[in-house]
Amino acid sequence: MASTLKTSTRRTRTFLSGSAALVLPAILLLLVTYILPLLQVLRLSVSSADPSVLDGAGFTLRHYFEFFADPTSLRVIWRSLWISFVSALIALVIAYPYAISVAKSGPVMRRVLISLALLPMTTSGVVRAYGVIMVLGREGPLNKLLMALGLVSQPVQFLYGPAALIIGNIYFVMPFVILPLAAGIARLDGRLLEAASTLGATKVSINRTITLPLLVPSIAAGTIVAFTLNMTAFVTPGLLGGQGYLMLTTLLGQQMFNLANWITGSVIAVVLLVIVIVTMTAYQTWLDRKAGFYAPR
Amino acid sequence: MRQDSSRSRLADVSFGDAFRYAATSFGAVILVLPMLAVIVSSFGETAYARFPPQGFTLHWYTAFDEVPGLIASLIYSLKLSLIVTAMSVALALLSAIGLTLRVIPGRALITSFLMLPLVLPSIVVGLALMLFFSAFWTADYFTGLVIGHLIISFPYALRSILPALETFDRNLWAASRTLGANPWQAFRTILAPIAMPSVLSAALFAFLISFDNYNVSAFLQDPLTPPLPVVLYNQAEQALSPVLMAVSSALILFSVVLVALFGKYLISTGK
Repeated sequence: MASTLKTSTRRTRTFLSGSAALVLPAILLLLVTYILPLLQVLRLSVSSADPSVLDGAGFTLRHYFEFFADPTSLRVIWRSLWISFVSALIALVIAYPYAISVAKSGPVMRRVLISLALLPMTTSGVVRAYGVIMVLGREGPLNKLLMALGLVSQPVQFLYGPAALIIGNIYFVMPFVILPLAAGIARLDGRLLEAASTLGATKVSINRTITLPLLVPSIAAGTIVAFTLNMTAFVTPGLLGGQGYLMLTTLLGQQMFNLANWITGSVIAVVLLVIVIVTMTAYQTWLDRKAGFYAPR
Repeated sequence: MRQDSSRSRLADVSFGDAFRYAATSFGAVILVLPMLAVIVSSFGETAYARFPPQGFTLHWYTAFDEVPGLIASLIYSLKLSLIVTAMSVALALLSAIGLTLRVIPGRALITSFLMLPLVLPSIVVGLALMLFFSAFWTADYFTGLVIGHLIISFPYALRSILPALETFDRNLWAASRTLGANPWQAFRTILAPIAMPSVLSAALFAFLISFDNYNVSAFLQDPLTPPLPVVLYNQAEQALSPVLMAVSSALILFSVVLVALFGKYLISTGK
């Protein structure tokens, strides 16, 4: 590349260096209307002035102390964490065999399976939540199934509780787990699997000793994405958990929309940001440490 | 190669395969059932949507105006999302060219920076921009929404276009310029054809992200004409009208068409 540039004309070189400026509008846009507002949230969360002073003044950690001293906040944080994690894990367990089928099927079946995963992904989140509400209704298929199996005698009221939220989350994140996982499986080195099967390994042991370990990065990525999506979703917990079963995001919504409590809203936003950033950083660190093992050979 | 070997072993369907088929079918049911429930319940005769529905009618498809503000919000959202899509794609294309045509210092850092809104929660964008607009810049609602949507849509567009341009051979560009093409000619004849499929995928992602967005819109909406997802969300806080199921079915149909026509552009460039 460098040699090409050296041999090309000066005019070309000038234009090429000028071309780097094309990235400036995007950087400026994000700096002014993204980074600056985020800093304002951070600022407001430690502002000791009256809440109506939106650019903040003074400094205090009082709002954080108050937030963490409230048992409701702690309960909501803990609930957000475990609901997001459990939903991500179950989604992963359901997605794993599905993704293997995507990778192993012929072209037609593969297209069908991928389209089925893409369909909810491309449909509005509120519409998806409507669908879950319909499925979980008193006379809906899930209650019918549970009654037919004799597990319950009365229709269960799922809505506005953990079960509805976990089911909604699973449905919501499934495509985001399936697609990277299927891509990871498709990238596996076929020679390894062939060698193993030539040497007499059974399918189960190939899966356990070769496929699964090589897929660990894809699986981890899928889980992290699912966890973060659950953690930061608003529509799903808002419609399936409601005001009675708040997550961090819906608590934020309640503070902002119903109570116009902008400082507490900012505190919750910062807590949410910290959880997401810590999760992503931990994952990235872990991945970097493993990078040598998983590097493509 | 791999498929052949696995298929030759498929002659006898093992226990593992049977389990996988069952598990895959279960996954497929989970993916399809809620959509199906929405569509089927839009044909019910009862005043509130229920699944399974009672009776059969097409009435709700002619009654979109029964939900106040629904049609206006649909038009408003389409307008907003089309503008945001055009801006996102233009901005992403510019940035991708800027990041690719020349080796620039700190490229990885700049890319991560531009992708930041993909990682950080969009609800915080909504909150932050609402405070920002209240404190520093009194933009009108529509401008605010365009900016909010642009910030969360643009990284998706960039993520689609950037990898496509990275495979681009810079020598082609230098050669065309040496041979006398001006930058616009070089762009049109060399860069554009290579970028085209990824631009289509970028436009799809940007549109879908914007058209579906609730988290940012809820904070920046004009209360008199809220975007479609906000209207749908607010309606769901009461008992669901079958009209909503009819509108939702139309949206699902739109997705079906989208996936059937452009499905490959939606997966070829995921991360």
